[in-house]
Amino acid sequence: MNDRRTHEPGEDLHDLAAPYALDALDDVERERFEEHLSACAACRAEVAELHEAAVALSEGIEVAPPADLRRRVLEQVATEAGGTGARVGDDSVDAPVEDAEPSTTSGPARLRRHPRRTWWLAAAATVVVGAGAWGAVELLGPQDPATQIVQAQDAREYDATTPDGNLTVVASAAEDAAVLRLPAELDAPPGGQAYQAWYVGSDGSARSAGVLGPDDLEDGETVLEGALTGAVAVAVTVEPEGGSQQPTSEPFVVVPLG
Amino acid sequence: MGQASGAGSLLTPDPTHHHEPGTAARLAAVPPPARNDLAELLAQVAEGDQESFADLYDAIAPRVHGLARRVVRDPAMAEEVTQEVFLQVWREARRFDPSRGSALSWLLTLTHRRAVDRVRAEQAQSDRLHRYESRSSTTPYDTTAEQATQRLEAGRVRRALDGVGEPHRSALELAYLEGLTHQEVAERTGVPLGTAKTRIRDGLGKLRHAMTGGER
Repeated sequence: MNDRRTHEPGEDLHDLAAPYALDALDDVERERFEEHLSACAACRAEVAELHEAAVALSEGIEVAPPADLRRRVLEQVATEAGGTGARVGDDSVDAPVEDAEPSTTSGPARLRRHPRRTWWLAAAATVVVGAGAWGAVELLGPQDPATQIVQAQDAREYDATTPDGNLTVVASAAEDAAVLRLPAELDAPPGGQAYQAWYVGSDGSARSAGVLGPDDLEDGETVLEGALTGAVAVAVTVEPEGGSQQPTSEPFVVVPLG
Repeated sequence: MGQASGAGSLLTPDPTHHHEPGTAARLAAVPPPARNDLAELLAQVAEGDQESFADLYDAIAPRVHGLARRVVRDPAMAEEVTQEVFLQVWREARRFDPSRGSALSWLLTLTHRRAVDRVRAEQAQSDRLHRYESRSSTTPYDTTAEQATQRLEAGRVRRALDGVGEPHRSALELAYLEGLTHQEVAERTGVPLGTAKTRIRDGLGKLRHAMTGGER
């Protein structure tokens, strides 16, 4: 190993490879280590390996960006490429032209039906790229419903704050379905009771979107039951175990979809 | 973002809607894209192929955005980071060298660096440290780490990180997912800097070992 301790005698710069690989050095240290990197092949190799290991740290935290972001990124790239790319993605995008940001106003439902051609293109892209290290299971098997929704071209994310943290609904009009993501620290419901999700209509009506079982709480994510169509919000209430036909308590959180 | 509680009036019970309460819905696991195909896409992007760029976006955007979201927290800021990352990918795809590492690692490294830099710039600008400080003052670090852990939803991640074990796991999560410097990790966990450094190094080493040691 090329042991260059050029700056602070006594401190081994090699020791900084791991925090560097996690971007956990402050600016001064980073600069110092990068200077060292340019001269130390061993550290470069070490950092490359640590970067591979760090890949595991972001597995499972996928969040579909708003569909509008895709359009913006592709447009910007087309512009940079010389303006010939206006048709890029034309065959697969029909992102809603509305704002990507979930609105906090409670206006009319902005959910739209999209032609079903959108989801399978997204799914197909995922499947093609998913083949390989992850094997033929992803290639041949039907895609997980939550994945299909979250990765739908028109998937949009809506947040609401609860005392326990953020609750998120990822909704896809094309899929006519939604995924509910629970706050990380949501307490278990009191004994004999259960959390139940509801689709709320523009007239204030509620229809059950499923009772959240222990597995759902454990995994923090669930596909809501029933069709998204007609819903302007998703609410969660505490109900007697087994759920209710209609809400029997005030929702502790309501996520407006739009 | 959205307005949370207090909107209970939306929920006036309506007897015309009767739906059976359902059973628990299904769980999710998002399949990460494979490295080889990403590398091919990147090679085509480096040639200026916009179709491949769109495919690359579709393949990796949830992962990129999820990481950005996790580190910067703020949804609007995370969108900007995601957008910047993809523009950087478009401009610099030719700098990706498959002999030096996987495409996924390259993409996530870009993403993480940008997200962390963004958070730190914000902190410097408006002293946004309160986000961390207030949390650290009310929650012991292991709770914070647990919280971070719970966000990692894929079973495989749990397994890989479980294999890492404490205290290394907390150190990795605080550094990578919270975007803390190793100095801050030391402060947060109440250990000397050298110990924090060692935990990060050993934790990554264990993670690397777990990944190359048979899971894949």
